[in-house]
Amino acid sequence: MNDLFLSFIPGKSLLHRLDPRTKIIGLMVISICILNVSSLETMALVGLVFSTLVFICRLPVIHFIKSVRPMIPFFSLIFLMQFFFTEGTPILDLNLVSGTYEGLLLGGIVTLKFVFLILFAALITATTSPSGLTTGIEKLLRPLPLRYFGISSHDIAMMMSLSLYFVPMLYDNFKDLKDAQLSRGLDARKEPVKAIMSLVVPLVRMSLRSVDEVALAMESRCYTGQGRSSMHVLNFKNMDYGLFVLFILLVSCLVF
Amino acid sequence: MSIEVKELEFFYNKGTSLEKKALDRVSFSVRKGEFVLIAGGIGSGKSTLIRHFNGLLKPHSGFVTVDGIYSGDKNLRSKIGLLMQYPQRQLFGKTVFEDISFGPSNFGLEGDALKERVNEALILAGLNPDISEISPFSLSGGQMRLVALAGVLSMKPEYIVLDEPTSGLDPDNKISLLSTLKKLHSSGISVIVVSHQIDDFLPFADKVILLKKGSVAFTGSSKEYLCSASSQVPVITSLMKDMKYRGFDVAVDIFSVDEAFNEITRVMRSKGVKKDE
Amino acid sequence: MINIENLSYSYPDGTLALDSISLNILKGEFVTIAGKNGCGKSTLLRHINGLLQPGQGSVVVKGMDTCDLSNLQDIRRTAGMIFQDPQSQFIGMTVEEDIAFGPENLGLSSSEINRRVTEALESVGMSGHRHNTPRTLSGGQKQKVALASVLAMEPEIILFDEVTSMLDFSSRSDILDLIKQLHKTGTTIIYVTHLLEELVHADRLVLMEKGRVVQNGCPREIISKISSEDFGFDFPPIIELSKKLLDARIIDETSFPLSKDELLEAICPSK
Repeated sequence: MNDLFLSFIPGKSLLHRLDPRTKIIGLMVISICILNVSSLETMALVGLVFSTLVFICRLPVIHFIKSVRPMIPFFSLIFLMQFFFTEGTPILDLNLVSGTYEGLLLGGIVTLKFVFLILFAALITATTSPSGLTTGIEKLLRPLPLRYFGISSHDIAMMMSLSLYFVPMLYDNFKDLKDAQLSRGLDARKEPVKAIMSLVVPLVRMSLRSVDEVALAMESRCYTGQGRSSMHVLNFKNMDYGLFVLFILLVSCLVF
Repeated sequence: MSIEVKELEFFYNKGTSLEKKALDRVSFSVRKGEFVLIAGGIGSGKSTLIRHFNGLLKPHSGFVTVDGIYSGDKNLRSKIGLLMQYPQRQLFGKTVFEDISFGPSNFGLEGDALKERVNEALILAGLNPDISEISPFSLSGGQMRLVALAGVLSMKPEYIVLDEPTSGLDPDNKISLLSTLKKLHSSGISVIVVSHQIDDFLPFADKVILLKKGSVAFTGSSKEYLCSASSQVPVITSLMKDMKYRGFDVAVDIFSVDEAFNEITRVMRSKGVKKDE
Repeated sequence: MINIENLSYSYPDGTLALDSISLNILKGEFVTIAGKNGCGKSTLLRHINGLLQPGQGSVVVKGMDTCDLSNLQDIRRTAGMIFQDPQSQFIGMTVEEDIAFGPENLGLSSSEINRRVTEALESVGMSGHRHNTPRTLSGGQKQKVALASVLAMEPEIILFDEVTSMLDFSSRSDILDLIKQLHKTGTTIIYVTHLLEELVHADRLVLMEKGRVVQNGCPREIISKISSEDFGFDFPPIIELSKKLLDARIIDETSFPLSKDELLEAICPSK
């Protein structure tokens, strides 16, 4: 569990103490900034901001490496596409296509954009408890007229946190199931359809059963989707207000 | 002809900071035709161990051989049947037939031979062959577990390994499962049960292996196990041990109600006689 | 506390699950409901906190009728329920959040929720696991968290639905000890099981068969009188042995032993 993608690291650092809403909005603002970066220098600045935050919060660097690692094939693909399909001065010639200097630069920037988006998201999830995050999202969504669609902001927040919980559970179930069917000679190459069915049918049945049971457990603990309070009180502190001013400044700089 | 486990070691998350030893120099052997109970609770490494028997996991050191073949060999998967915990969850077929035939058809069996094989497996598992055309999901939990067992038996394994086969069963279903296992054993199949519910299996076991925190803490016969210092003994044995501790001269290598009854009446009568005089 | 009057219930497919059951349960009682799989014991339990509504008859909990849907929140708050599978009743991402889920639904203040979470964790001895995720817990620990989650609602009645059937021996006795403690502090306990080994703490035994109550009374009396044929399946070893010893007049029937320790006391009392 500890090595799970985008997991929470309990602590009391500066970022931990910020209001989840500030962090969510902050993440949106910084994402907009990152997407607007066009030079390596500005990218270096983004990197500096990120490293400073990680340093002052004393978060383990390995956690962030692990967050990015699963995406490496995707990043490589993006980089190579840019490298080979951008027109300009060729620096690497392979008979059919050639890599260009401009492509190297552009590919570098685009890839770094994605890397930093993931890293900042990982920074927020590492410093915000899952319930803090869902409460924050729930509060931010509350002004939206969701009730006209027949759902409450609690429902959405609940769905998010349940799916966060279900995915690892399903993964565990899947591993056991795969072992069971492999023991019965499962061979995906011989009869792919049957092989897939032998994994999907039990998994779907298990999930449906789990959903039923969780729904029952929720109901018996008085869940109605309305009138919920939260263990975590969200309070804007001076720090949060200060950051909001900074966010507004940042966004206005970008717009004008 | 036997399963040999030699100096088996296995680590989770090997090579990372979270490295955890799951199996520590585990060695034992299972002879063809034996009924072996591997006793151990949660965290004893039993689930890790059984996944080595048919090569689902590869040892980091040491080895497992089945009849001289290293356990990584895929052909072993028909020779050694593995039934996981709560096996009713792995059923998927539209009919009982479809589900049970999954194993043998993966190993190339077809047509009438396949039908024959499924029928045999159903009978061997103690089920009525008539159910082969109905949906496995319409059966009761206990019967679904037997169908899953038949799904493994249909591969005609020479060894069958079961993980907590009686867990969660009510007494009725437990009895029918135990009698099925006894029948399998007497038909010459080696039965290896991994369980913490030792009371259920001690009466049949030729050999008991106690697994504790990933290493073998005891190997021997059922009777030897009962006399050992282990705290994990059947409730009847525990009663006899307590009686002995309180000064009653009773045998402690006992787990059946009848034997315990005889022992208790014997010592009580001899005491009673004294009292009367 | 709980009045069940002539309750019948059929499953959606038409099979009769409960057949005119009448049962009264007093405040502070420890009632064990036992029977084979499919005898209707879990279905009965689900009527008590309003997860199911009676087909016929009525279920009244602390004066509130479960048929009146406006009562449901109050009923569920009064009668908390713990289920069989430790895995699928975990709702939060961490232990703390799971326990807070119920109180949050009641709309309590943050400080009150925190107090309840802390207390509930202490009473099941899981304080050290407050920030852990469910995947790092064993089955027994998950069931303790499930118990804490119900305790945080401060219920007067707790319903246990085969909560130990998926646990190993040592976690099973841990959970039973916790339940015994709760009973001592005045909580009404209704405990559904197919394991008669777990009977020893109950004030009352209700035996069910095919949707009907077939025995209702003092566990010792019932167990010492019925045969395993009446009961429908084999007795656990200690009870079987006690019965044989009773027939052979080695122990007397004034206090029929239900556990190993009781049997030991009956044969060779400690000095």
